[in-house]
Amino acid sequence: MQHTTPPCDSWLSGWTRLSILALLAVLALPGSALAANDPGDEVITFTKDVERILQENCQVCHQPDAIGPMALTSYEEVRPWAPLIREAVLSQKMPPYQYDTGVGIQELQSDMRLSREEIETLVAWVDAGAPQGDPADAPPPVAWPDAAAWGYVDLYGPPDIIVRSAPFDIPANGQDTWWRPTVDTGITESRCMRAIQTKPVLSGRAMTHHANSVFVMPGDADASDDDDGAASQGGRLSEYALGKLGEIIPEGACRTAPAGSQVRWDIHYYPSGVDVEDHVVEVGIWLYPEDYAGSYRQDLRTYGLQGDIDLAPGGTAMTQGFHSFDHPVRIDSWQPHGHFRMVAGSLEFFYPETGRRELISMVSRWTALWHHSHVYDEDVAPLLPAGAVMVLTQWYDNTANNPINPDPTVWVGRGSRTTDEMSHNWIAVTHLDQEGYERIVAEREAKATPTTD
Amino acid sequence: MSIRPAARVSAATPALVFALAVSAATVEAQQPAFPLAPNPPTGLTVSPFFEGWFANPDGTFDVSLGYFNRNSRESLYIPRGPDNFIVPAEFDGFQPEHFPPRRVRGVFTITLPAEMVEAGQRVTWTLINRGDTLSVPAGARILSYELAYGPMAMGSLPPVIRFEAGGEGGRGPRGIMSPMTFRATAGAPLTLRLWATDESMRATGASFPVGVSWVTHQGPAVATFTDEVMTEEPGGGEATVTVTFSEPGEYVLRAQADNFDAPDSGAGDQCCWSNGYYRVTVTPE
Repeated sequence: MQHTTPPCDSWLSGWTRLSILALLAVLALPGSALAANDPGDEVITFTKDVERILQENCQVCHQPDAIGPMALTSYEEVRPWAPLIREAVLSQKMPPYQYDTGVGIQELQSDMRLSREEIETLVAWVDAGAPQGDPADAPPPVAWPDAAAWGYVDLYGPPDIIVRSAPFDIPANGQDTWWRPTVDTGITESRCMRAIQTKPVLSGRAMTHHANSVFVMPGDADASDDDDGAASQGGRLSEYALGKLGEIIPEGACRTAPAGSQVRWDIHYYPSGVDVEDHVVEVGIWLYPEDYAGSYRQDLRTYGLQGDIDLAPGGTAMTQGFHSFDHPVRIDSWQPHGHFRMVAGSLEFFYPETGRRELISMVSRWTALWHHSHVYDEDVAPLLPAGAVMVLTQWYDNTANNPINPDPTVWVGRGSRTTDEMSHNWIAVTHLDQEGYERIVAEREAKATPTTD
Repeated sequence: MSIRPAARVSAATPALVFALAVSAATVEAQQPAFPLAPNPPTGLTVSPFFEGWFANPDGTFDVSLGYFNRNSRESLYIPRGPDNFIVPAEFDGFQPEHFPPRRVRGVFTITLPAEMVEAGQRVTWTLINRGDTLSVPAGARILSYELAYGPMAMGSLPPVIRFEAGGEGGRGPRGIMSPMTFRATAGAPLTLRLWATDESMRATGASFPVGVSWVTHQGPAVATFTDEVMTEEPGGGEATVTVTFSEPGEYVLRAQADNFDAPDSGAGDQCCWSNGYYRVTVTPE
């Protein structure tokens, strides 16, 4: 499990508190089947077993002045919340990474989920009375980086290129608004991008619903930031939605940052009661070496789900979309997108020749508060043969049971505002040819073949 | 590659989400049925839609309402009355009776007094069609539904509609009503005009063309609009249309002026368009 600093947004504390209240309400429910320490077992303690897990998975947000509604950096801070922590990890509400465990591809980059062992340790510790243990067993405290730091620094160092939007004054009140400036990039040489992170400056991160960007070239002056960037010659740079960390382009693929390009932003701000002056969104670009070309083109675009979004007051709905390619592709990442009423999404493959269906990924506890681009480990990134079909499904809940539903009494349809709904997936696709597809299949089969030493 | 056995998932899954979260169980339900059948182009219903609310300088609040006609090729006519009404009754009367296809945003507003909003009271618009009773409440308390018609991020404002050059202007979904009631004879063309100008406050100084369209808002039959003339010059200008009525009666026509070519203007964004209304009395031939 690779631990990567999750993005933190100060406004989430209110929603997090809602979640906590919901969890408190269920504390009386029967616990899990996970057993407490048996007599004779070594006692699980905070200092010896639990504090490390909290450091690696929780404290980035649960520290003083961070977004978590409480700090979890010491035994004294953690102990009162022990029952809540038990339920939060059992329900997988925390850490806030909603990808389903147990179905579909499980090997992901920047996966924030706790392992089964970590969950069992935390539960057993609470069930045993949450003992502190010997302070001498405690791991050294963690020196957390600045919350404004770039997320991929540990992997790739600082970004090679940083492109900033033009500043914007976010109003405290009023309706959603869309800021679409065009800025220079300073890129003088076309290069393949290795990773991309879009990062709203902290002062307005909570109000930044999305911040998408496309490269525009001379002559693209009138091109709009449409869903797939097709209106610009430069193609899409990035997509950001609240809570998203970033994107990684796997080795062998190339998504180009073109020389001589500008970046056209499409930043959707959602006022939340605080004026923010001169807010800026940055996109950090990490590049592959100059001599890297990549064998295949990768792109990131949206794949829409067809049909109306037609949510009755107090109702639920489902949308579905179907997409295929005339050449084989590798799906590098999958990110469902919706707003307040969307609660689940899935990616399946359908093979018309056999009628077989295969569930690739599922998020059955999706929330608009955290948008994750689920980046598959390179060795398992799903391969879609030419003619096979991606089946994208999303579910919506406009009832009062949806804890972030602003108003379950109104009709909800498709629209740009946060109170409207959307239905699409951002998917990074490496476009292969048959030779490349067969080579990857053969390499994976060779890795899977047991050796006879 | 470790693809695990697929969980069975159904449309009921979202309702189960939080219960399952508590029990930490894997989603376990039925497979979704797909492909989904596309909607037919006719025979479907129309629902009222609450778009949002905005505060007025005099302390009142306006709620903006539109609709969603699920048909792609069928307009519906639902006359005001027992199948098309707003309660409390004092707010009934200006809702549309004609519903062209698909989602149409912000076709009229209702002004609510401050004390009603402070008390948390709402109005409810109900459309009964094809056996379904479809309602929506509209109030001004939920911040998520606040609308604002100051300059948008890039400076766009709803175009200003005037019924005579240099006359009083109105903009936004609340719009403006023509000061005069027009008179026409059934079957005889009537020419209507307005001035729709983009008076946005863009830092770049850019100006965009204004689009104008006309629809029948109320009346016993759908009016026919022809010979629409609107300048394509940036900034807008005078627009005219010829309208013919097939049946006598009292009509309200709605002109919508927009600057949707601007980068921060679009129907889905809830900005920037304006409504202009004409009252027309049509007498028999």
